[in-house]
Amino acid sequence: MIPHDELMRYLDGELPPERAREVERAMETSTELRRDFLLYGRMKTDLQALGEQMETHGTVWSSVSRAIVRPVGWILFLVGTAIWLAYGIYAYLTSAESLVEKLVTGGIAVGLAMLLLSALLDRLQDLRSDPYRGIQQ
Amino acid sequence: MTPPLEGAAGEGDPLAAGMPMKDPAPAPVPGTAGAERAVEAELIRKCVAGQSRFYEPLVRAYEPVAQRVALGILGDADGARDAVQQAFIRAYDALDRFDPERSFRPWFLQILRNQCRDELRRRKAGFEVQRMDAVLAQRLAGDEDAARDHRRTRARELLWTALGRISVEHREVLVLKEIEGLSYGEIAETAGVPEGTVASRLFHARRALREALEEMGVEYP
Repeated sequence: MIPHDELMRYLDGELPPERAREVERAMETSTELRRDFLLYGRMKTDLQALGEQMETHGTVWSSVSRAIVRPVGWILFLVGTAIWLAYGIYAYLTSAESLVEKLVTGGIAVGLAMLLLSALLDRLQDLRSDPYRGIQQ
Repeated sequence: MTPPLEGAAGEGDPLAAGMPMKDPAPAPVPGTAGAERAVEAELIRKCVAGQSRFYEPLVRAYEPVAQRVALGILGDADGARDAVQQAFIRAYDALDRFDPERSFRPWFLQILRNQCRDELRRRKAGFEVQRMDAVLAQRLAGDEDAARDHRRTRARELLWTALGRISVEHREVLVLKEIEGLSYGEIAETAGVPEGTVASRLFHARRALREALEEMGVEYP
């Protein structure tokens, strides 16, 4: 009796010659084994032919390349912006402008930043709960 | 068989031009699997060092394999392309954890397999059976071969539909074995199972395919 795993190994050429001969001897006496071997063999040939016919469509390199480079661009942009902002604030606070002018300008800047941040947070929350976000056009 | 790294040996390529390598290993024989692996390891080392342009030869060498595997698992060309793209991005991010003693192919195919599974979970509909003529190249046959070719084409159409009816685990192993021609050892490495399990899984996959064909009520030619 040849186990099914053994038949698969024979079909796929993964059996050592001695065991392969045993499978061949068993097939001479077992119609069922021979029938299985022929059916699976035909499936194998047709699946291989499917693979040979599969077309590959262009390269994905440009998209992959963009996705790899993008985080580096964002990091550089954010770090640069943060440094410029910090320097600007420092330069403005230590300048000779009057305290009232600094307080008013600071209030406007902080208010704008808070509005922008809350709008961004709302948008983010909408995106997370959007039931259609997985649907492509 | 490992696909040739054409981009790595092309004109103007620093590797081909003999750029100095850190920790040089004994020179592998050109044209052998060892030589290919050494080139891959060097490309990966450069990518990990931040030179992302050295990733291009790897992408170009492995994307035909990847597209066939993804197409076999997902069933539609657009989904396969997206999965391949995401898998290459994921692989790039994980390159610092890649063991250069191993071959890139099974490691990458493992990432691709996980990506395809994520995609199947996400879309919920599972395998999308696209018409074969939308997925496969049509071969023109002479008149005398037409009848025989028609029978074989019909058989392949049936198989393609039946592939969509079996579990993803079974489909994966069939795709890796029959469509990509991986050995049992390579399948074991890709699927993360012992080599002894591969034969058993292949048997169950082939039997499932056979049962799917029977359930479809068609006689497989």
